[in-house]
Amino acid sequence: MIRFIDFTFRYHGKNHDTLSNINFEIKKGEMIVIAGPSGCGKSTLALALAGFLFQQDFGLVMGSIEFEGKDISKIPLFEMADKVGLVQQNPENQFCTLTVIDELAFGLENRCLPISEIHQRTQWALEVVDGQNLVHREISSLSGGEKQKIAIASMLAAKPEVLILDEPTSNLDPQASQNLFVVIQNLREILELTVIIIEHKLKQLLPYNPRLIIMNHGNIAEQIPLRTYLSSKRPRQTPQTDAHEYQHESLKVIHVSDFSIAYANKEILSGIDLTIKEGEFISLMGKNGAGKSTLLLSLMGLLPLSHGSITLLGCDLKTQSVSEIAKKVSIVFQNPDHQIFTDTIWHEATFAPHNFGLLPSQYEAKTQRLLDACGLTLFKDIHPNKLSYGEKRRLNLVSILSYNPKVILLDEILIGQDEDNAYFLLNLLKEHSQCGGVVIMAHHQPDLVNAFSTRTLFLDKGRLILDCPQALTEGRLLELDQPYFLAEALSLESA
Amino acid sequence: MIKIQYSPGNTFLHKLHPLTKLLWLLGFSIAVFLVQNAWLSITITLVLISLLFYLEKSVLRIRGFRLALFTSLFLFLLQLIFNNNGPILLNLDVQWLTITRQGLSNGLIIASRFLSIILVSYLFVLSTSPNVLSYALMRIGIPYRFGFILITALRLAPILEDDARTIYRAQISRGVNIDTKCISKLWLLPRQYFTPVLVSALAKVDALNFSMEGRCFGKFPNRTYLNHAKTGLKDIAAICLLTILLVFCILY
Repeated sequence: MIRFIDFTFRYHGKNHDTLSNINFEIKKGEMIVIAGPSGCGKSTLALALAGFLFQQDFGLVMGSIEFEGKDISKIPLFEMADKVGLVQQNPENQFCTLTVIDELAFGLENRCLPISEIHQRTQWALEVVDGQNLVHREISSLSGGEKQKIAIASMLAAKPEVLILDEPTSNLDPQASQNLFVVIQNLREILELTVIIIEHKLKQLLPYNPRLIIMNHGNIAEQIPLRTYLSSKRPRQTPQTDAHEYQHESLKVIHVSDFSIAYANKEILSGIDLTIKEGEFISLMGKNGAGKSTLLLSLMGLLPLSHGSITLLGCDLKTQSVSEIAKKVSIVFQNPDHQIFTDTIWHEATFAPHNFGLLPSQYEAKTQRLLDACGLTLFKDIHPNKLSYGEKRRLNLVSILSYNPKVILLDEILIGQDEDNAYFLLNLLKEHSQCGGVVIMAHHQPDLVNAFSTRTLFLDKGRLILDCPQALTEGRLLELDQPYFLAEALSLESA
Repeated sequence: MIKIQYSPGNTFLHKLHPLTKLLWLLGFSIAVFLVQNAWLSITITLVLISLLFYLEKSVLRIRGFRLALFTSLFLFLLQLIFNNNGPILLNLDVQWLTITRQGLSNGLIIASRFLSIILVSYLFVLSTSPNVLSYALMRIGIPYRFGFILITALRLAPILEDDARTIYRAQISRGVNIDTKCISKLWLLPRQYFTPVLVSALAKVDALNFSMEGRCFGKFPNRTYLNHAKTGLKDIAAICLLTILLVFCILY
């Protein structure tokens, strides 16, 4: 159905090919998963398949992609739109309207279809993704999983033959991701749709045994069935937590007592009691909207508490200004682009210590060492925007670790990171906690983080329903009936 | 404070077609300037205040409402004191404090005129969804490319606001002193702040562009619309009422 023939693509202004010599074939009704390190050309491949790369003069094209025997670059975009639907990474960024029904009808209205047919197709698309109950909702009121369903349904309404999903679960909790994969599988069964998924979380796709294409530096490195790939993979060397644990007499770093927070009369967190000591690596989990980000922001002193108190190293947080707190606590947010402020990598890495008025002797050597470890030293003088997504993420961490804050808060920083980079980041953080720091990481990837964390906090609807050492987490989560948050949940299911 | 923005509801004002309300907004603004009778002008203002009260119980908490009240009071006093034409109503034996009939009536007209225009705009904004309004405008012939400028702006504004907040938080957590007193550092602030805001906005526009073109936006000069706001008897009644009001104002 689709055939890549020696396809090579280079963006203008780049000195290397983003895609080089791609050769492969996709059959009708197949499910394909494309994986690979960030920046390896997966998203560009998706744009090429949907025909976007050829509409404007984005770059240099060699070779071709054939769709049912026709060269895609010669097919007008509007014609391609009837054949291929592309759901981009973050559904939030691709909605063009404000209500669910307008969004579903958007593509059909543009095609000037008669009203009766638009009605019929929007209904049908909602049924296929199991979202009939969402029909009268506003987009802003939807949860992450619901948004993803609507983004998919709005593409399906045009009845494409191929559906491409670019990291569809990156913003979803494990339960919502699982639900979404079930929806996608149903699509294939009902519509015999060809589905191409770009995804890092491979374990969750195992039950559907798709064909896996691994990309690296713009090339196809490997093409095998997912099951074969996962069973041949050797388990990773994980840090031996017990041996290297922080051994000193642990000092209390954060103490939270009976703390609640409300926003616009709605309680987001309530009745939280917590004591965190030096050397802890805390894994913070919970569904989307459970209050994880709010907890992190309030530990940084960025949100006003409605009740209770937070003490940091013996001082009440309320009595300190955010800039004072920032010397001891630091936070890294999800999107690396939101936290890059200067024009060279070295300035970026030393931005915070410079702002805090530290002497160069106090931070330069350490920053240099961190940049070396992250493989960024060579790029020291270039603009951070030229880095890949994964490299930017490392730079974010370097720029925090360079001034050695006591507590590091991380809000879903593993999103969009391939496994290698994720392990790299986790190792850096583990080192910080083993030297007496505190790491609190909100995430949806227990399969990666569990090996590093010493303790798990689980939030549900604003309440802390689980707080226990890592070793006991699995059992307690089963007791609480949260099987989706187990590291092995998905591979167990398939076995 | 209540923001001046659409608040969903189920009143008869919400149920009117957005274009009927737009017509009222325009027609009414003309009518208010045609009225030369102080009593009529005050009656109109009182009707509007009660309508606003019907829409939003805590009228005084609507942003800007108190300011509008004070301004109209000020306008009234200005006329009352400085307009000395017509028969004298009250003479306080001070040369500049003569209150005349014309001063009083002009003051009342100008103050209530000012207040009426503010009030009718409040009513329009509070009861009309900008989304439904843009769809209605596109259906009567405004080119849809322009209509969607408004819709996508409404869509992106809260997202960009969120991003800007995150960027601000990321900055202060890395020791950027937003309230710095040092002028040599002050010029760096906007650059450090707006670069990431701009980068994230451009990425969003790119994604939106692919999403719109991927769904055939711009394929034809026209597009169809899944039915939106419906017109009904209420709308006909409202337009008749507006016509009567305009005629009445012209005659008196």
